Amino acid sequence: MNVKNELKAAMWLEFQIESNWTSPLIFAIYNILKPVGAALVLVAMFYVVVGAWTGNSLAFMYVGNAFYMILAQTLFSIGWIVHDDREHYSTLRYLYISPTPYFRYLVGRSITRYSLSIVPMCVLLLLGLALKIEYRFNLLLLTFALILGFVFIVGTALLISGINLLTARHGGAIGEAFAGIFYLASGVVFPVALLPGWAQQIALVFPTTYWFSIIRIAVLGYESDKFMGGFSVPDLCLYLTTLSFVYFFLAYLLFRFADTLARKLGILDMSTTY
Amino acid sequence: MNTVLLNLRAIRGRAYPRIVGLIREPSWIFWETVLPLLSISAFIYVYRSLNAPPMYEGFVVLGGVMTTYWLNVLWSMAAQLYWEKETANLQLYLAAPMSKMSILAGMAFGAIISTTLRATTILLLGIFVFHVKFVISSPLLLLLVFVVALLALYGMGMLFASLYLMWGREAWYLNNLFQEPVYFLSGQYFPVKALGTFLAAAASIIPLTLGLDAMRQILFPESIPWGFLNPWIELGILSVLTVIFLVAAKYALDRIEYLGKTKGTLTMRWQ
Repeated sequence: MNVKNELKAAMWLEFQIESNWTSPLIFAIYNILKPVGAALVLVAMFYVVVGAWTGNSLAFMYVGNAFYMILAQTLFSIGWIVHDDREHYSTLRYLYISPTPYFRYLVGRSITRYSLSIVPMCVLLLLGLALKIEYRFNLLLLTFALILGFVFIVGTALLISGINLLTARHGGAIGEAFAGIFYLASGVVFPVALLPGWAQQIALVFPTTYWFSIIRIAVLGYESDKFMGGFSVPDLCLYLTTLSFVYFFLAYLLFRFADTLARKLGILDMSTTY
Repeated sequence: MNTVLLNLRAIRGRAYPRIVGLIREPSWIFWETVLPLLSISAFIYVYRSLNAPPMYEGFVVLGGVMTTYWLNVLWSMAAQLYWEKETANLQLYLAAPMSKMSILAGMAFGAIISTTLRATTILLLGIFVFHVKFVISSPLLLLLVFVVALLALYGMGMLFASLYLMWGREAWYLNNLFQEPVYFLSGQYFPVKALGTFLAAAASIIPLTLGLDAMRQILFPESIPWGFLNPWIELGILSVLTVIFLVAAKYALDRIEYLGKTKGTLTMRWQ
């Protein structure tokens, strides 16, 4: 089987697992409701303080949150794959002895999850029109950001999968922890400038910090975070590209290490009776 | 054996692994404490970015505390019987002689204790790191609201446990769905009155909504104008909800037992 077919099979499997529990309509609503709920929490928080339904601060957090949903949903979902395969469906051993490398299988499933997460993001952007958010799209920059986003998000997902090969019962929690760190430290819903100095320095290590800044410029046409506003667009792109590939490469190495260790320790198909 | 004693032992037996599990698997404490802290810190910064008065940061901490219970209700109560089925424990429960309600009560009791540890961590973070000031205007009412809200919440969890078992795989997805949309409807980080009377009233079916609203008014007296109902009235409604959920949980449990016997598929995995 060639790489394309292997990826296609993994992508199809992910789609089936995510969606075949219900009708397509219910699945579409389900896929959208969760991100919309998260966005509405922020809108309500803005309203109780400002007393209005529109404003630059709202645009900042709304757009950041809409794109954060791609990251959160992908990491949360991928965080469960190893656990599901190993203990819920008890298929990990069969996947390992199949001709498709497990790594490639994970990438395939990540592609579907990432793509499915883009749909609610688009819905959120449409709903943003009701909040009078003025979009000034730079489609080229946005496409660039979404492609690079895929690289580091899948990289992080691989890292989580590697950790899950060695641990029990933390699947979702680890995915959420990574997503939570990015949420807090990357200027998703509030400016990085508000963080303490030491936290700002940490923020600069994450590709997400540059990603969200580029996203805001590509969607809103400006960056209102004073701290990230100090970077030019080419600089942001350079940092994002470098960090994304470094993340992916490191995650790949760590996944390989975890994979080797799990085989060596004989815990690859362990059951933790979860 | 005396029936009461038998059921009390069942409650203790089911609560035991949840409490001891805290010590046996301490990494759980790390993951389940750190996670809410991250999002709570982020929401506090959101209010800071809007130059909101300090009481709003208190709303976030209070919401964060109650979120841990809500998540616990979803993942450790509502989804539990479904997971017990997947790990083949359910048939043992059904074959055991005690009331099945004792199993759920034991799960709830153990879960409340373990979750309180996490909730306390969040509270301490709010007080010592973010300097949130709570002014307890009525300690007795606060205690009553907190306890009754938890009873109603876990009663709801007991009801969901049976329903999720009937719904099968949808349970997992329902749990996901009952997070962010419920955070919004119940006014997790903001006064629920902001949603308008109709929506806030509809959301009151979730015990979290009224519990949070009452506690907000008691702990932050300056937020009383944002209160949805008088805290005493909210306490009354929460008490009624508790009774309704517990009775409904008993009915649903009997129903799944009946379905299990007539259809014979209750304990089959991957349904």
